[in-house]
Amino acid sequence: MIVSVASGKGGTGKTTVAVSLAISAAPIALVDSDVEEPNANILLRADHSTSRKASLPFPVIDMKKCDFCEKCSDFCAYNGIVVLKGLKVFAVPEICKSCGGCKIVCPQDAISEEPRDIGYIKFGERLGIQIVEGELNIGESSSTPLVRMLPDYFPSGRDVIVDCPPGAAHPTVESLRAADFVLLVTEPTPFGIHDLEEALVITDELNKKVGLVVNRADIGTSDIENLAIERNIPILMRIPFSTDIAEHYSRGHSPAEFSEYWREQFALLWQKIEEQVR
Amino acid sequence: MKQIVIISGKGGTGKTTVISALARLVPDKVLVDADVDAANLEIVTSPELESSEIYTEGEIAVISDDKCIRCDICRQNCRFDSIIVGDDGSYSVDEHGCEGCRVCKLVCPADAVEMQVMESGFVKKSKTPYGMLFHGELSAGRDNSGKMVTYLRELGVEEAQKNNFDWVLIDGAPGIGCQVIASLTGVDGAIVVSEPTLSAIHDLKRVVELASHFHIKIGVVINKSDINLSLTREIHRWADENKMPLLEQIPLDKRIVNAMAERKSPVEIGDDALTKLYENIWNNFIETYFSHH
Repeated sequence: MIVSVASGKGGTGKTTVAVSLAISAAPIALVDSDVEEPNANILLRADHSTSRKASLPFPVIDMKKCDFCEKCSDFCAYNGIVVLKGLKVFAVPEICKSCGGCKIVCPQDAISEEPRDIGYIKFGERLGIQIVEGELNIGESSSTPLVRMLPDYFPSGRDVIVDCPPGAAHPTVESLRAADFVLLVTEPTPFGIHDLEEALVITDELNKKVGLVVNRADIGTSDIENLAIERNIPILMRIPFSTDIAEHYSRGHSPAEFSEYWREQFALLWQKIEEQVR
Repeated sequence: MKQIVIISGKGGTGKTTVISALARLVPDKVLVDADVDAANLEIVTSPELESSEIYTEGEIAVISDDKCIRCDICRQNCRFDSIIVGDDGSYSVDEHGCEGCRVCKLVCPADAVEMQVMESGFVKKSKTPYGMLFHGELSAGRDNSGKMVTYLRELGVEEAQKNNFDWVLIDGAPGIGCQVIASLTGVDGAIVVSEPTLSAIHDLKRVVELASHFHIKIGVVINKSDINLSLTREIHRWADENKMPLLEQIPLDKRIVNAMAERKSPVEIGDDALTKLYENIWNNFIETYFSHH
């Protein structure tokens, strides 16, 4: 079973919930697909036993073969190839999306591809949780290609929890694609609800089963409860506003790690998810 | 005229709370929401929509089932795994994944692929009691749009210049991706809102490393500063070492949470001491970097 933990809005508690759930459901795998700001292992604290570079194919032009026909730069939909007539032709790493089109159109067979690093995929294990973490290099503009690589590294034979990026854009879509169930963590504020509705557009479109975790459930408005009833989405857990949880979180401890009570609550949450998927 | 962006790295540290206060405290400015994926500034600025335009960006491929000979060549060449083969063997394009690269159109032997302009959302101009707001709305599932952010900023700058305003205040997105890069390129200053948690500090360092590539003047705000005083001190030290002013620290206060839930800014709570903290953020930032004396 693959469970993705998403939210729409940032800072609602996705990572806290994902890591706690993993602790209570271990042995299990935890995948951090918030590759711009990966935080799951700050709460899990596994030693990274191994890591590998993540790279994309990047066009390299052999100037001995190039005759400056400009077919590559004409084809590139992103204007990512610069032609300096008579001098040099090169692709711009910040713009290139590695589609491979320039290599196909080149009549001189002058374009080959070399790997260009965009980040890392790191692996570790603690508390019976195998963690797989994507980390985007600073300065890379698109996180989608790295997010898309992660399912290839899902450990086999284990259930998987995916800690998603914030927002409801394409990296989130890719983080939800393989999921059997999507757990949406929200808070009862106009911001939480606004962004939750964006996330629900995606889960509807991908036809995913969803459930809610309402974090800081005792603040703000009750609109979230109405939304859940209207949309027929089960609220599977409510977590109250707690300075105790906030303080532990600040030091990198998730509720299921520091509290027997929360470990049991997250075990119950896992059971409820299993029932929903069945 | 100067452009100031509010960023954080980690989501939920209080960017929108800070800018909601600055919107009420700073005169003569234009507001831009550069988090088009989760545009929240409109929630706390009571906007009246003045105009809205459909925003198109890039293209996506469409396969004509009549012409398609199901040769599978497009799927084999798509680097974005975005050619879908249906249960009935028909070919179509996943519009979330398609990057509009046109490789499928290039390789199709049956000329069955056409490119279509993609509507990726809306760009809106609204009047608020605190000045004009330019905000976008990215359709759910679209690729994060640096270009939409750049366009919104251009509109904001134009409006500020027209009115001879001093400031464009930009509410940034979480993370370090293209939306954030587009909100940092060419701005004059960045106010980074963090909190004393290991996660937020980790993300703060990443986003400041990104911002430093752009040679931007950076000031730091520590929100929820009393959650962990030793980590608050650590942020202090780190800011000092990196020669960034600590603009203010704001303790965790349930009244702020409740005010925001009621679409109000913390400076509307009516507690002068609290309002002063938000005034300090701005005044300290201006005095450090933009004072002409």
